[in-house]
Amino acid sequence: MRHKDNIVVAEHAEGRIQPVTYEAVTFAKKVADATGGKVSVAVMGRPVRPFAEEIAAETGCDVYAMDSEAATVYNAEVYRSLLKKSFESITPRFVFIPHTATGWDYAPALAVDLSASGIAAVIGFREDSGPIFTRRICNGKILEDLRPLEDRPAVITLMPGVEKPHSRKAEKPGEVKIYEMEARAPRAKTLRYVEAPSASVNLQEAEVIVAAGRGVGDPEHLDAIGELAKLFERGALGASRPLCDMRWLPFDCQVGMTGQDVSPKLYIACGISGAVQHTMGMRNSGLIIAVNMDKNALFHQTAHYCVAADLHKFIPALIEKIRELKSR
Amino acid sequence: MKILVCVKQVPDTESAFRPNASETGYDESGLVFRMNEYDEYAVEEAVRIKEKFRDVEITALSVGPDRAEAIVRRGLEFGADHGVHIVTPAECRMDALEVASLIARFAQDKSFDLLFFGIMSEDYQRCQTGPMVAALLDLPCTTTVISQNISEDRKSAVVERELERGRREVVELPLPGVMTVQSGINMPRYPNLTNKLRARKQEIEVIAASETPSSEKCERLVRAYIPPPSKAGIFIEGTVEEQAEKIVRIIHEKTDIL
Repeated sequence: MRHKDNIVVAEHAEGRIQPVTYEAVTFAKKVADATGGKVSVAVMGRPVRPFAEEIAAETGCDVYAMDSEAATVYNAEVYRSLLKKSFESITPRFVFIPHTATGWDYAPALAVDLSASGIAAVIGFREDSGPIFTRRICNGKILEDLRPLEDRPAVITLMPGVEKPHSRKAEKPGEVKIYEMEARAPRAKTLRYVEAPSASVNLQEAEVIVAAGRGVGDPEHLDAIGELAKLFERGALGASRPLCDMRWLPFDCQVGMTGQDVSPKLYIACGISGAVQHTMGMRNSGLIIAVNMDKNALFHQTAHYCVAADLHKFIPALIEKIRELKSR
Repeated sequence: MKILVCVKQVPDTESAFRPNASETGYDESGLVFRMNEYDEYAVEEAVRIKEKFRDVEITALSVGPDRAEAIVRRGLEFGADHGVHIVTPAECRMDALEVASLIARFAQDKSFDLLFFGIMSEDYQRCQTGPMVAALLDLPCTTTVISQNISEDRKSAVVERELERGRREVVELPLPGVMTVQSGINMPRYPNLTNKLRARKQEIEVIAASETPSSEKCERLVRAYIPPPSKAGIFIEGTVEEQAEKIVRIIHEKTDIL
């Protein structure tokens, strides 16, 4: 790695490079095109070679692979110590890390370790006498443009789904360099992983999902939404995370990054604000309809059709119209 | 055992937000402020630890302008023993490292066994403050905690952290350590009357942020603004009946469902 390089730190889980890694490479290449420097990828693990070769072939980027027993599975302290060690001689300009349960676990501390800038959950970049990164605040109703501090590296976490992962293999694979490294013995240790219990509510097989969000206001209003879901032969009731947290609906109903990933033919979102944590789990649905009083709700950007109406009036009206159509 | 819970005051997230005149953040006029929900879960978790183990002392700490005192008192209502308010100037945007530096500076000589944070604040959603405090104090840290169980000897905790798609990682976290709490870890209770009355009268330790040495920043704000109109979906207009009629027609035309 040379000075001013842009480094993407790869994320892997269950023996696979996660697609967010390739999204981050796409983003890093855009930054490099505008500001100079090249893009390299750092990957840590054991065995690390298969990961490194896959990344080099997919992206064409040079891969800096750190082979370390301690990094067999992700560990924040191990990742931090390996990255810090590797950045001792050559300081990267930007370190791009996916904003995931793994990324946000170590990236902020890495920024402290490196006395670097730290900008989290970035959704965009532009060049304007220097790099500017954009992020959302206030449920996406306001954007912030931020600059990293000068004369030091910046650790940037990238919101998943902002860029497309590299879809085509690179013409020429990047160079793979493997370094055997010792990491600092971590204090917090992974004991095991627990796989997601199979959901009793099968949202995967549903053709239609009617999903409820905080905007429903009161648990008793869920009845109408459930009734709407039942009108469809293969309809199911879904939910955004806050509803499950409040125990209004079981966690089995949860759609989104921390819940189920669904792609029904029809997705009707009722009173869901549209946080990325939710939309990442349903954006591949066939037809997406958002019902939300708030005309500026972020969800309207994901939806194909939007209805800015009072749910408690619109849902009963919709139920009636569907019944009318069915009885014809 | 000493627990620090860091709580932030945030506006209701369903509010109509607009940038402030200086374009440094959101306009606070007309907003209703309350405790960050993720922090409520953290306070509840601390109180549950106190109920399980004896001689646990909980300190609720908030970094924020004058109005944030209400949230320190809210922490006391929920069951914290002490309240601390690090007062920052009004309408002053702080990045995560500035906040983390203030918290670390306060905590460094207090020998807390456990530092609790919500995983993120609802308004800024950075997920940075907790892990930054851990790094500044050189403590081990586990984020996105969805369950925790402190050992009998209180030297460590077995913690489950939530990963994507419902997967979980079970971590052994030695104490002293830092946890950031995911929503849904518990069902926060309503404050009882005794705590409510106590919270009203109890003295809160007030520290002016300017008393602490100036801290490093980790980003520079250019400006805050309303997002440019993006490719939103097509809005269906009309009365509720007309809207419903049009939606049924769209479903009928675009899918084979109806």
